[in-house]
Parts: sequence; structure tokens; C-alpha cells
Amino acid sequence: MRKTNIGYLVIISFLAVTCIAARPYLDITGPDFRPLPLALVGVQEPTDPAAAKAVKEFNQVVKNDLEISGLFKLIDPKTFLVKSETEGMADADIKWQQWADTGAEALIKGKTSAGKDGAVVVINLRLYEIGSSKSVLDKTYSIRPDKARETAHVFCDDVVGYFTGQPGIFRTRIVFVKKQGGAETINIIDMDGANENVLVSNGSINLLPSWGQDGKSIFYTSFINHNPDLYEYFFSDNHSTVVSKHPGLNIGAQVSPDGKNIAITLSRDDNSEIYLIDREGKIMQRLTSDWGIDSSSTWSPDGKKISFVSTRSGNPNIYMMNMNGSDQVRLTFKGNYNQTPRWSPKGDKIAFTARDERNVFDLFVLDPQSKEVKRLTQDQGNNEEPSWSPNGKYITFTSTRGGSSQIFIMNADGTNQRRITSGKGDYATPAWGPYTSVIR
Amino acid sequence: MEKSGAYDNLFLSPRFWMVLGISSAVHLALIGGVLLVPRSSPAGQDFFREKVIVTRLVKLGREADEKLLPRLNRPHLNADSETGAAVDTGREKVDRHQEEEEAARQKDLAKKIASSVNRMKKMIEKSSSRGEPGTGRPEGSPFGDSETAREGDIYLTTIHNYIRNNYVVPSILSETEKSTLKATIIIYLDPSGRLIKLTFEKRSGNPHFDNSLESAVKKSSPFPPPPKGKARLFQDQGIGINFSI
Repeated sequence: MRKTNIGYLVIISFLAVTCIAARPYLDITGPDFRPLPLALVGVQEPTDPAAAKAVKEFNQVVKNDLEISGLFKLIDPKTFLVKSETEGMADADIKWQQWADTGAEALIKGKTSAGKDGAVVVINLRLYEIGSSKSVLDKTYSIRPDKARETAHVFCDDVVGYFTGQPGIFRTRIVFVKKQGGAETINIIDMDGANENVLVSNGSINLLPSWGQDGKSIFYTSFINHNPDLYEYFFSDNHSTVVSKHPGLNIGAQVSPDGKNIAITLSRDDNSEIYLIDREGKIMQRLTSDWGIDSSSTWSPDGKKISFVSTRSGNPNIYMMNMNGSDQVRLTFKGNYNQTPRWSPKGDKIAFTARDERNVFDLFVLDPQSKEVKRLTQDQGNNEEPSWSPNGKYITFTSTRGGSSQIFIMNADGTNQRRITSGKGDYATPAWGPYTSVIR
Repeated sequence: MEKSGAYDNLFLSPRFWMVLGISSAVHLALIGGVLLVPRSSPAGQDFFREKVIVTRLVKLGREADEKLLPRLNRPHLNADSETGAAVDTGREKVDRHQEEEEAARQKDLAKKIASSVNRMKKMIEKSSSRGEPGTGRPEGSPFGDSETAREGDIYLTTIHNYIRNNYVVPSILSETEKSTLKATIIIYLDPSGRLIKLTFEKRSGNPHFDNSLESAVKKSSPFPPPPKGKARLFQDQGIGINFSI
């Protein structure tokens, strides 16, 4: 009897184990990224000429911004299956399946109404998600004369903000040096290349503009007094004042994230070294002291470290130190000419220019912890002088791929490279402004 | 001597029955646990999931010079078509030629692997038909031998590669989402490898991410026909795919 029971037990155990048919599970990671297919239905232009002009400009800027963002793939309107004029704006009116059949995963539509209180037109815009069949953003803007461009940037900032949870950068600006006809001026443009304006034009050579941390001023070096002195330009009164005029170089000023100190290269002691000075130009501390040339400082976003270029090992290489000058370590060991480091707003990368074995300059990013280097540009002329957008998603730089040196922007991974300037002369050393530099 | 002689018959030994009793109780507890733990619970999922090790062939090229800066396999093209056209240089043509040669080598290698697997299958079938001792259960039970197990893994690796090639998610995902989004899809295949249906065992909560997963699986179908012994399992139980970024 006992033997029979044991037999049953063994059989039941065996059946129980074999009946558990295991479903296999695979882990799949590391996807490729693609822009979101977006159907952008241009806002129909009203009959009033002033309103029509504003709406036309608004449509153009929205389209350009969304393309620049690198986040969206705009679907060719010729392939739309829906006639937009026959479709309303309410969720119930949207022909979801037809938009889905067009390949859209998001849809932007707008309509106009007459402007009031000085506005030339009022535009109501909605962003829809096709997958969830609902509108997710509903914005109405009263557009004042000559403000269509800015309003379009505001809307695109809202669209990007909705998807990414981060503020958009469409209203930020970029300062740079423009070399034309023997003069070198400090100029400014919107991040899409529009509205180029001269900030500093004094008939002399002006170099290396950088932003004050609050976006209200620009530091630059000028030879106007026959020595490369550091000046600060203020947007408020369109006026510059001298900050540092030590004998020799006063160049490469970078203000600390808290706005209290400036890291700068001075050659007052014959050799180029990095110093900390205060906003009035008083020397607080000398940070480097070696036989090589030390220059091109950039702050970590927490203000605790400074990355810089030094020739102490022979060729220019990227180094890093604490903000008091201690713990100076070399970060780059590849390439024969590494320069212009710029620390990312997140702090996890340093973009820089390097000359490779073919003697071509290209852009790279460096992980300051692992020292791993990744290439961003290749086989398209010389690409130099990177500067990060305030959200760290884009990099502006100069490239000679079209002949003269022009300003480009690209996604931080090197994709979606596009030229934003096309003027005569050479563009150099672009510096992307903070969020507080927005067009007002 | 006298004491041990009293238990010459093992079944009369109280110690034997005590050991057997404990052993049975432990087995019962284990079996009960296996049957009672809900498959949907995290503990149940871990227990029931057959972990698949995906292997891939990699080409070991010549080691790069440590002093040289890294190069892109393919330069990032301009969004600007005007300047993008200038990118199509002789170097690209050389790259394309190298890629074609590499594709031909890969194809040749795949043929050799397939031919080797087929030869192995024929040998197994031949030996089975002669009534010789089997070489393992064709459905790949835990008692099967390494040849059948390897066949199963080859198939799942193929599934992995098919879907991975179509695994493309929208760029709009935020940095936080990129580190946290996870979803699990169960795919059910018919014996020809065609997708019968897919279900979400767990959604990520982000419709764009979930849509791209569904799209990746649908674009990957049809898959190659499953191995005969696994066809029923993949049709009834399906294959789970854990997606993350």
C-alpha cells in the first residue's frame, strides 16, 4: 500500500513539472531613434493682407522650427488623405483613421479669427495624438504686428515641451564673431539663423564672445586699445565696459555658473595661464602653473570643475581640474590637436574640436569620467568650436563644408546637421545663449 | 552489530521512513509552490520565464591604433540637402563596396550554419528511424541533449534579430523616459512563422513607445518557421518580448 502511494507521488511530481510549459522571454534593448511622423496642416491665411502676411510667416517659422528640432518628420502635405478645410478642430471632427493611414502619429491644426486690441490676427492651434485619438495641446495667440516669428517660436517651444518635458530652445540666441572686410565684429542671431544683428563694431579685432550667466551681457576680447583686453557688453544700454586689461592676453573669459567668478587666460607672467578673476577684473587666484600654454577654460555646470586646454604634454590636449586648481588630470590621449572644450549643461559630456590623422578638424564628445571619446562630424570640411544649447540637446558649431566658415546646428549625437547662416564673410566661435537670453 | 542486524530490511528502518517523509514533504511544498505561485506575480514571472541567451556573431577586425581618433562607420548626413549632396564621395563608394563584400560573407556563413544544422537533423532522424537510442526529446525538454537545445536558441536569436532590426522608437522621448520605459509583448506564431496575434503583457504607459513596439513586431512578421518541436509552444504559449531602452 505504502509503495503504491510513493508511486503515485512520483508520477504526480513528474506530471506537475512537465506540465509547466515555459514561455520563453527575450530581452530587446538599444533601439534606433526616429523622428515622430507629424502632419502639420498650415493655418489658412485670412483675406486681410496684414493678417495673411502674419499667418504666412507664422506657418513658415513653425515648419522650420519643427524641422530644426530633429524630433519630428513632417509628412508631405501632398500625401494627406484629409482635406483640412472640410475637417473641424474638435476631437469628434478629426478623421483619426485617415490621419493614421497617412502615417501620422501626431497632427497640428490651426484656425484664425479677427485680431483685437492691436493684434493683427488671433490663431488657435491644437496638437493631436493620433494613437490616443485626442487633442493634447490647445493654444490661442494674439499676434501683434511683426511678432508672428516670435509667437511661432513660443508655440513650438510649447509643442516640444509637451513631448519632452523640457523647455524648447526656439527663442534662444547665438553670439559669434563675423569676419568681413578686415573687421571682426561681435554679432547675434536667433537660433534658427534669423535676425542677425551687430552688437560690437569698433573697427578693431574682437574675439571669443561668451555669455554672462544671466543672458544680459556678453564678454569678449577686443584690441581696440591695442592690447587684447576683456570687455563686457550689456544688452540693456548697448554699451561695453572694460573688465580686465592686464598686459598681454586677456582672452577666453567664461563666467562661472553662479555668476561670481570668471575663468580667463592671462599672459601677464609671460606664459599663458588660467586665472580666476571677479566681475570687476580683480585676480582671485592663479589656477595653472606649468611651462605649457593653458587656455580655453569651460565650467562644469555645478561650478566645481574647470576643463581647459594645455600643451604641457607637447600637443594641445583637454584637461580637467577642480575650480581651485587642484587635481589637474589629462582627459584626451587620442588625436594630435585637441582644443575648444565645452562642458554640456548636464555635465556628462565635454564637446571639443580635434584634428585627426588626416589633418582635418572635427567635433567630438568626451565623457569626463570614463574618458571615452565619440566622434560627431566627419568628411564634411573642417568642423570646429562647439557650443551647447541650454537644454543640452543641440550643438552649434562652425563648418567650412560649403566653402566659407558658416554656423551650423545639430542634434547632440551629431545627427540633423543644418546650416543656419548664409551671409558673406566668415563666421567664428558661436556661443549659444542661456534660456534667459530669449527674444523678448 | 546486534542493533544493525535488527534493520537488515531497509523498509523496516524508522530512519528510512523519517528521511523519506521529510523528502516527500519538501517535494510537495516545492510542487505546491510552483503550482500556487501566480504566474503574473513578479516571483512567478521570474520562476516561469525561460531565460533566453541571445548570441551573435561579431567580426573581430584589426585593432585600432590607440592614438587615432574614432571614426564613424557612416558620416551623419546633413538635413540640408544642398550641402548633403556633397557628402557622396569616393570614400562612400568604397564603404558601400566593403559592405557588399561583408554582406556576401555573412550570407555565405549563414548558409554554412544552416547546412550544418540540416545535416545534424538528418543524422538524428536517421538514427531514430533505425530504432537506435534517441538523442534527446525533439521538444527540447530539460532532459534533451545539447543539439536540440541549441536549435531552439538559434530560432529565438533569429526572432530577437528580426525584431531588433525594426526596433525604432520616437526621438521625442525625454531623457527620463529613455531610462525608465519598459513594456512586454507576447507574440503568437503559427507553424509557418506568421504572426497570429500579439498582446501586451505590460504596457509602458507611453502611447508613442508602445505603438513603436507593436509596429516593430508587425514589421518583423513573417518570421522563419519555428522548429517542429517548438511550433505548438510558440502558437499556444507565445514568445514574450521584454522591451527597454
